[in-house]
Amino acid sequence: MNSADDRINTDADGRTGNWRLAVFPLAVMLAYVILYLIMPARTGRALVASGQILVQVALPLCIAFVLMVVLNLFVKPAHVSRFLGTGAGLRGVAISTLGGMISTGPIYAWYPLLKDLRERGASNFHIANFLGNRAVKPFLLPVMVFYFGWGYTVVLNILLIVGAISIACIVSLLVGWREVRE
Amino acid sequence: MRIAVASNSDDIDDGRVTRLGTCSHLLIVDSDTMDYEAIEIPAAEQGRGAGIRIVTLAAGHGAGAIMATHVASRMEQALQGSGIDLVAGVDGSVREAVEEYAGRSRSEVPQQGATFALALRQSVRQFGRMLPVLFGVMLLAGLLNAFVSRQALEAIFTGRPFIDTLWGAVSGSIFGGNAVNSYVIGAALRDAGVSLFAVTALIVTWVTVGLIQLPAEAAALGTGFTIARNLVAFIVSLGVAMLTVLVAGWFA
Repeated sequence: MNSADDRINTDADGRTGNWRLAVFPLAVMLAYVILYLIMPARTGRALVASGQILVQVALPLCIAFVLMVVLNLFVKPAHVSRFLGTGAGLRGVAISTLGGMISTGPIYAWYPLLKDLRERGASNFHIANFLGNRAVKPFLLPVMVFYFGWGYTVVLNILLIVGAISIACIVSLLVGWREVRE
Repeated sequence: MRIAVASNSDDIDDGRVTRLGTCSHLLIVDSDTMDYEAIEIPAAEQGRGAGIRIVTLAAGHGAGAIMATHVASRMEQALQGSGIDLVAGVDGSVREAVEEYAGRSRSEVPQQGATFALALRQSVRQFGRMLPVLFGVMLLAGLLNAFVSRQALEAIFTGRPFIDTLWGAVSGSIFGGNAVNSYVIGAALRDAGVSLFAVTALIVTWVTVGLIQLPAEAAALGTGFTIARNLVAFIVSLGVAMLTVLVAGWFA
């Protein structure tokens, strides 16, 4: 929720300063250059290890891309945002859960929407549940399975959903179901 | 039909159509009677993230179409299939824009492109934003592999489940970002001998807890909510991480 890619500035319409995306990889490449001058053999081993990771993760990333297209094709954030503010009961839980899962991009881009939804009736429970479920990313499952296996992936993602709902329940108990104006 | 128009004025005749993210007013116009309601967009709410707020506002007022001079591509994608027409490239006064729109049949309104093409374009954009940092993370994982010794990691991650989980959760709360980066770093740490408890806690808190994002979250959602949510998320993440490793290990 808070890395370099999540801290990229956007302008009024959400366009990204794309050059900022390159800052982090360029910084790491600079570190490689400096380390190569000091310890060339070990830096070479690091580069080989990075190359192996890149090759290994290429296929899962391709599958992830296909899944992303499918999700973008059939699940519309506008649908979720339209209903999130009015959802109640199990329907509201399902919508805020789905909304968190399909939300992409920097989290701060979603804060204004969440603030607006709350002002139009979305509860603290739904907002917290939405934020908690951002950890579940259906289109990245192939990458997780590649690294950690099916069993681990299934268990972790089920517990992440349960955990997000638990967090939402506890937060609602602590700060109230509706917004507390500060 | 109600049409939402991004405008620089609260008057339908004086107002010119503007960009969605920088409009000072949103005019909700009934295209049959030309009656309208002007909603002021405070200056503080313009700028970053304003577009999606205004779209939400328009949808909440039952608008069947949204008109602006320019609309970000993610808005196009978000509204595809929602039943709301998004009309970009509009110029002139608000009244002229609405009358011109109302004079056309719905099918004649310029569409934003085929659904699949939009989904593909959106996915390419999302992936394009993700890949540079992921590439940097892969390079970093290589450095971790070659330069950080197992002994150094064992000094922090001692192999005691709860302590390892705690350190992993602290790391994930400080760092963070796209979830896929945590998978790569987590796998590299695991291969270097760090326990799965720590790796899982890092993956879980990477997205759910955000120390650096606290001010932004507090500004939008309130300090009390933000502190409570992040604190509870951190504690619950410890349980989720430990339970995941135990249950997954049990099944394995």
